[in-house]
Amino acid sequence: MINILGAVLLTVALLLGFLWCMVRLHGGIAGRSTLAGPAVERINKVLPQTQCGQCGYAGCLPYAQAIAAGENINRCPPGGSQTIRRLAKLLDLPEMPLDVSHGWHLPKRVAVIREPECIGCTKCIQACPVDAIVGAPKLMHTVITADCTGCDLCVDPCPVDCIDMLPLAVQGLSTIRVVNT
Amino acid sequence: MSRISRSLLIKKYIKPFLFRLAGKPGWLSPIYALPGGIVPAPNKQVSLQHKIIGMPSSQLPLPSQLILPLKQHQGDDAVPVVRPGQYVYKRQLIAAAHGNGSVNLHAPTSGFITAIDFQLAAVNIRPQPGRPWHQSIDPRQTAIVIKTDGNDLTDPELPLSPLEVTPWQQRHIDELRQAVFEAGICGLGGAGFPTAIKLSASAIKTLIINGAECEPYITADEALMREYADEIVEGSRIIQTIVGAQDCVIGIEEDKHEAIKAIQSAIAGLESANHPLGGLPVVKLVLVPAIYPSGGEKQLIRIITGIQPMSGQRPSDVGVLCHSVATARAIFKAITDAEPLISRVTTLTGSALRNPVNVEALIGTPLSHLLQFAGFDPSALERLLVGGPLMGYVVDDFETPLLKTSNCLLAASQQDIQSVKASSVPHRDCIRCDFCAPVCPVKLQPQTLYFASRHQRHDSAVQNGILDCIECGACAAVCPSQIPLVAYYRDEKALIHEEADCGESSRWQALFEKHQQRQADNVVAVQQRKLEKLQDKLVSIAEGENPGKEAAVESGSPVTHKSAEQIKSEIEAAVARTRARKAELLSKADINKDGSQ
Repeated sequence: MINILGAVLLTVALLLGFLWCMVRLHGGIAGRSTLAGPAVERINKVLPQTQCGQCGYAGCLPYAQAIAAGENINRCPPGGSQTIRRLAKLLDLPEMPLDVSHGWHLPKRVAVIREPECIGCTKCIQACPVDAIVGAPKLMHTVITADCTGCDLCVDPCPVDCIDMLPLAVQGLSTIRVVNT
Repeated sequence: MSRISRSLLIKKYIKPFLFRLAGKPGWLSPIYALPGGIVPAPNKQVSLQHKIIGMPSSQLPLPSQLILPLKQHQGDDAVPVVRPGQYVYKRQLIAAAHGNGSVNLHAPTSGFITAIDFQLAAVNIRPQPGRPWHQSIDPRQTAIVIKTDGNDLTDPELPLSPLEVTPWQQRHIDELRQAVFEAGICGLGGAGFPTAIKLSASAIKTLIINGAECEPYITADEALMREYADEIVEGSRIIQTIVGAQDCVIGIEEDKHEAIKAIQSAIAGLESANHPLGGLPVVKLVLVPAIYPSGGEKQLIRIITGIQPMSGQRPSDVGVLCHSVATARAIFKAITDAEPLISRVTTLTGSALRNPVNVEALIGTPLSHLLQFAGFDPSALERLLVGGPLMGYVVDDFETPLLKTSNCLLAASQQDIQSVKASSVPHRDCIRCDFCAPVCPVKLQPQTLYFASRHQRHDSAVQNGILDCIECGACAAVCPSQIPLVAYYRDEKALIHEEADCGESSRWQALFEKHQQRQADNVVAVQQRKLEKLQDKLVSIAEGENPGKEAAVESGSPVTHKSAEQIKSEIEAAVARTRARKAELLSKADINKDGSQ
């Protein structure tokens, strides 16, 4: 009786082990297409989180999900070649040049509102993905420079074109000149 | 190994001691021994056969175009102030310093701007995995391209700088410092730190002019000291005046005999001339042992002053300032001739060149132009390095321009590479022989760093001081397994800096998630408010009031024609719809929450 019970238990255990192995093996072979949550999270961490949507997806997380599903890794202009290099390393893919049809990689800029011209329409506040613009209806708005990702998304909605994208002004030996071009 | 150790011992301790006892000139002040170091074959004589050849000259004509990256220094990019198609004169400002630690950029010769766009540039260097000796060319660099017209014209209407009219001794210090800033000078020794920032340091006791060019093959500074010793010494006095240093020391390696003689006679000439600044202590010459890497900034400071800047400290924090001889000469030219930094002396050498020589080339000259001039033999080339064999970077594209920081162009053959053991064959495993630790000039444990870097253990690498590694390559040169150790360190350092950069993006991510959550909450709250309103109406209908009255008066809608029952059922249906919508939204929000967690 005990022998039979032992045999049955052993068979069940072996079967379970075999199934487990199959699942693991399947996941391993299928590669990127079956990467689950943690992989998306790791890819997302490499992306610059500007939430600018230049890649054609609604934000960094959707693009990370798309990459996990096989999308090209060269669609992120804010990240530039550095992000491509890190993605290539993470996913063990060959490096590729940035797809400039989505935009050029530019040095970091921040939005600056020309405050006397602001009419207080709140449209830029609604467009900002990181809540970096403060203001109220019919009152002047301003940008929290430290939180601005430089995504450009507030520039188009502005009905009076009072938002400029400017290079980050920094302290130290700086001589800001007017560029006559 | 034992032979290296013996020669190191003699060079480091015995020779300086005996020479000081004998009272040899240049050895009179005490020097301190550098930890570690190696004595590689110098290979310097080949490129010192001729004098420095200027550009443009009959021998070395102008290249057809110049490529000038906006960032040739540490710090932010300069901002272009010219347009494509515009004609620029020699010395004209084409990109202005903008932001933190940025420097100006000037047109090295006259011509038309053909483009301001993304060009290959040998900056932002980082080795690629699997190709550790190669630098990855980063196409992000914006560069200004000038098509030269061959006339080399200076703007005829350019007014004379006040510094050209009045001798520099009579100008104010701030004016001198501003002139250095305007001239767009950054450290010419290799790191490219903006010189104007260094000159604004205060409480400097000792100024060291670095003439200890210790890396094999490179002779640019040595040639400069032989031919322009007067300008270097004068430039040193200018720097000394600006920073107010008590002592000014020119440190030269003992084996550069002709350069030592030239500097000595220049100093003597300065002393004998009735100088307006006679009150200041004179420039002093100190000889240092010819050990690699005694020419490193912190290494030379330690040898000459005995002061060791701590980890993370700048030399100016301990009252010492170090400039290379090339920078001193550039400052001299900027102050006395108001000439911006538009050319530099660079060494063209290596066995793949038939005529190794030092040239004073314009910044932005394509490397291919210089190689062709020096008799380039592509069949002998193993690797083209910008910089020396130990610290240089491999360049694949010969159209890469010469930068302000490029002090040497080494067209290395297999034999050149072998001489410093920087072989391209796959390296063998670390056998823990511990040859590397005693040669490290920063007293690190190279093999510990190697394992930390190889397995990307960032904490361990930082704890073991990888950020203090000066990437001199002494450890790699003595490694019997020929491990390109420095390449691993560079890779690891880049990764550590990347990790540090992630702070900003994770904050943005958190802000974005909050924003999304707030938006979802907003939608639910709006539905909630609608639901409450409808329920209020329902209650008022049940109490027998005519709900349509006020509404009908306001909007003129045909509500009054409906019976109370009709209205009631419509409202109930609306309530049900809103409830369903709200439930759906809530469940969606829950899913989002789960997904983000």
